[in-house]
Formats: sequence, structure tokens, C-alpha cells
Amino acid sequence: MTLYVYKGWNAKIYKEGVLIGYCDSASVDIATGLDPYYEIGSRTPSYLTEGNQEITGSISKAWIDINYLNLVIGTGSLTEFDLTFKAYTSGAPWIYLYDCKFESGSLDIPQDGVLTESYDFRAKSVGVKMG
Amino acid sequence: MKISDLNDIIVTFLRTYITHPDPHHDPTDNWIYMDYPRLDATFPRISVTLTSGSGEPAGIGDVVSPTTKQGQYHPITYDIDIWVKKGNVYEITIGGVKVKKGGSALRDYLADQVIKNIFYYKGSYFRDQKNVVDATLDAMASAPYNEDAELFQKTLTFTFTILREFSE
Repeated sequence: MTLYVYKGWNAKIYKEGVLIGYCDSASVDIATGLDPYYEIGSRTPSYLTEGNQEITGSISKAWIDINYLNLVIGTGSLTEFDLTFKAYTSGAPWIYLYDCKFESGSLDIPQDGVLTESYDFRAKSVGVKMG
Repeated sequence: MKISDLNDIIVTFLRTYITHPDPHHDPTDNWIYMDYPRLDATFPRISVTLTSGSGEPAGIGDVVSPTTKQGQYHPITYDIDIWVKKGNVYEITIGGVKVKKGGSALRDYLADQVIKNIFYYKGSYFRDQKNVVDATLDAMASAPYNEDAELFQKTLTFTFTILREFSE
């Protein structure tokens, strides 16, 4: 029987080729910056013009070390890194995010839950493959 | 960590930190055990019984740190029962004052000792030494006096959370 969907336990997330542990959620958003052009006398756009590509996303993981916080606390240039999201070990979709930087980070310290850290990132370019 | 390891950790902890109310009790003579006691057992007694558990993902891909390992959290619920027999009366020193306790008063005293010590050592013993992620008190209940067995019983329901790696 073929399974057509993947669940969280199937997925793998890598930062600079190293698996990220204790990650509880992650997301990627790709915006194409489409700009519609409307002519007088029409309620539908005549053209959809491609705009700036924006690649953003977020990662949330248990707060167990300071490796990620160190990437946002500096006041100089931020460190770049590559991220890879993979749906399964083989025969599944991959997405590569190149030259990422964290644009914000936050800590969540609940009274009765797991301490987590979450980060919003922005990438310069993106690639996908089935592999 | 395996479930059997957690059983041993809890029983060993209670044997180490809960003092028998009888000042003349031989410290090498165990009175805290896994599973419910037989009716012909000696009392007072503390029993530790695993009643339920579940599994929760520890992260996407079940990846935990170190990153080459995979595992899941297991919150495992235990009933820790305090059993006191009619006639179990002891002189206990509390805050420098000697107090005679028996029956339900002794049962509640021992229950307080269990709760106090598990919470006090939750960080230093359970987490730091034994890798038990969390210990919470979910409920406590006193059973009606058992006339036939002449037993006073109190049940403390604790949940201990462990990280079980897939290789275990």
C-alpha cells in the first residue's frame, strides 16, 4: 500500500546539513510579489506582473542551548546559513533555502509547558526537488 | 530510558528519601514496592503501580538532541498508594516535637512525605541525575476504611515524563 501523505515524524529539517533536534514546528512562505494591472472598464486584471520574490519562514524548537540565540543577538552582520526541509528519507519532496538569516527570535517560557524558542527567517533564494 | 528503568527510579527514590515511621524499623528491610501489596504483607507500606501512559513526539522527525538520536516523550502515570493497618501507631518527631500517629493521620503524614520529597527533588534527583523530564501530581484520593482488611489507604496519582530513545 502506498502512503500519499507525510506526517511530522516523517519530516527532517537541517541547518547547514545538520539535523535540528527538538523542533516542534516549522513553516516556509514564498511570495511572488504579483502586481495586478487593471484597465479602465474592466473589473479583472489585464496583467499580473511578477514582483519581488520574498522567502520567509519560521522555526520553533525546545530551548536547550544558545546556538540559535547567538545568531540574532549580534549587533554586526548576521550569520548566513542554509536550511533544508525534507518530507521523508527518500522519494519525497525537498526544499532548499539558501543564504538565510534570522530576522527575529523569541523565547516562550510557559509556567507548565516546555520552554521553546522560535525564529523568523528570510532566505535569498529557494530550490526544490523530489528525491 | 525504558519504562522498567523508571519503575526502578521511583521505587529507589522513595526507599531512599521516605523514612519508615517506626524509629526501630530495620533500614535494610524494604517496605516500598512495585505493585499493590498482598493482604498478608506487612504494613505500613507504600506501593507504586503504573496505571497508564502515552507517547508524544519530541520533535519533527522524532529528532532529539544529540541530533543523531530519535525518541518520544512518554508521560507515564503511577498510583503511589499509602497503606496503613489498624494498630500501626508510631511516635514521630515533627519539628522537634514527638507526635503519635496512626490510622488515617499516619496515612496522610506519609502521603505528605511522598509529595514533599518528589517535588523537592524533582530537579536535583529526577531531572539532573535520572533524566526524568517532569513529575506532576495529578490527583490524590483517600479510600474508605477497609473493615475486612483493617487498612487505611490513600492514592497519589503522579505523572512522570521520560524521553525514550528509539534505540532503547
